[in-house]
Amino acid sequence: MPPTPDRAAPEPTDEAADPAVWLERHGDALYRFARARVGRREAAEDLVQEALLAALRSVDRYRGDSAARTWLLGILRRKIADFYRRERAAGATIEADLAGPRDGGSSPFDARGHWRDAPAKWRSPEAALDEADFWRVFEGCTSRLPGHLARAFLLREVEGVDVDRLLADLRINAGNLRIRLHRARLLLRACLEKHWFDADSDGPSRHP
Amino acid sequence: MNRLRRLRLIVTLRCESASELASRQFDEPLDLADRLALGGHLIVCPACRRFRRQIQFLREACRRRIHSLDAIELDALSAGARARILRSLRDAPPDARPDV
Repeated sequence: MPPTPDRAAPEPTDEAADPAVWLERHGDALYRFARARVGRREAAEDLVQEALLAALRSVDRYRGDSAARTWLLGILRRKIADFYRRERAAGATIEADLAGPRDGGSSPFDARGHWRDAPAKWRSPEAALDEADFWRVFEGCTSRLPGHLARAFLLREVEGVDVDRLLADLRINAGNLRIRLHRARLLLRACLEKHWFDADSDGPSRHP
Repeated sequence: MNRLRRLRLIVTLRCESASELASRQFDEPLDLADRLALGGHLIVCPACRRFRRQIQFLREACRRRIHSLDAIELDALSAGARARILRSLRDAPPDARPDV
């Protein structure tokens, strides 16, 4: 679909001025950036759209002194921060936090605090990092984490945000953050074991 | 007294709490009593030792994740999302463009 005439960029060759070109050249990178931070496909798509619309509105500010992608990523970063704020305002599920690992039958621990399904031995986890299929499973597992857990975990582990800043950004207390991170790690660990390391181990490797 | 408390902690620590401490140690330093309790538990509990190794692996995986996604083009905007975004860009009111 060619650009509509009334919206044609001042200089069609100028990348900064044509949102269709932004989308084509940087859409996937923006999407991956957002997806790695919010965890869910729909939310990431919406954020890319918001960021590109914001870029369109402020195109006059873009002076071409930084790469278009850098500029767009800066806008996307702000949109992601807004997204976190909105989620917070919507009253992200604190109750789910407080219920902790004991909610429902999904707890990996029994009533006495012992492992229900003890972590199994994983065979050559390092090698998994080089396999495309592993990353598909990893994506599937992170995107199935409950939103509030995914947010805390991804900010901590993907972004490397320290605890003090996490507490301020997520506006939760220290105990709550610990629970979220612990819970996210338990769920993600179990999911990888079930969908990757278990299917992978056809030998006796599960018994160390 | 203090020693007694530590001993109690080590002896009574359950896997649920131990895994919580192990997780916490990836984010902040533990105080001495917690460190000793966790250390004591890990000596006798292979399951919790594995848990700790595995969440260390999760951390490494997360750090390599974005790079890996780029490398294998695993994740891209779907055609539907791409079309929707393009439409929204085309439909943005012209007078909205030069603002800000």
